[in-house]
Amino acid sequence: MNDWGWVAFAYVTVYATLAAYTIWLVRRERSFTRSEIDR
Amino acid sequence: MRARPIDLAAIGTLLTAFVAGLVVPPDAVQGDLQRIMYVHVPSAWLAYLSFTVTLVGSVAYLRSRSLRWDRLAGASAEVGVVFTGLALATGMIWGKPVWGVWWTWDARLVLTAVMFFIYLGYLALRRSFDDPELRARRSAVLGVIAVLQIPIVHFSVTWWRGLHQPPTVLRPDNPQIDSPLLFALLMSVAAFTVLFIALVTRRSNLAAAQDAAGESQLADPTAGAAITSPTLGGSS
Repeated sequence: MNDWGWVAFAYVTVYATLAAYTIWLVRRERSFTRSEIDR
Repeated sequence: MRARPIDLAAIGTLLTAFVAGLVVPPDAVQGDLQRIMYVHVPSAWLAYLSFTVTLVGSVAYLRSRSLRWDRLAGASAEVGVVFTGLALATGMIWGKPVWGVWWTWDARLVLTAVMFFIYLGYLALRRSFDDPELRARRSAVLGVIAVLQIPIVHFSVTWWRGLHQPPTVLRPDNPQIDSPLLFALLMSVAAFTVLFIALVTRRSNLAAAQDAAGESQLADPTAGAAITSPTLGGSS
């Protein structure tokens, strides 16, 4: 893999992880709010 | 419309990726590979910041006994574990082409991994109590003790000889980095800090809602009313 390949690998790892954590957090918020409304 | 922290974070991090990845010149020695620094170093610094906020939340809880501080400590530790994991992952991705190995038993690497597992343990500890007061008290003690890991990780590169380079920016004398590269690095740190604030705020709010729901469950008489003690036949 050339230099740009490694740079892309690192950036994709960081941005994908942060995006995944953010989405997971927002979904947890939503599902929690929904379950509270149901109760 | 007022911009939310999460929107600012999204714009900031995307701008950073553009500037750090494509605008600033490559490093004189490492070439384009050095661009990994713009995500690796901020991840590590944000991990330090997260666990420092956990310390502040823990101390403030122990002084005030307000669960708000405990939730801040927990939220910050969770985000800190994500950033520590990213610092380790990007370090490995940088290490393979530059050092020739994904991992080596260097002091900085090992101690960062230890920090990662200590705070995973902190998060596990938080999940092991139903009572929020008990959870807050026990995890605050660990939140205070565990922060000792930060100076050990930071100074490990000067205390022990290893493969990892010593600090470039956070050092006693002048930073050893050219201005455009330093600008991109600080921009990245700023964007990640905004993201940290956005994530910790949301995580704390979620924890507050969860705590409130837990309390209302306990206070709700109908929850316990459905359970009656068994009638034991045969004995009078």
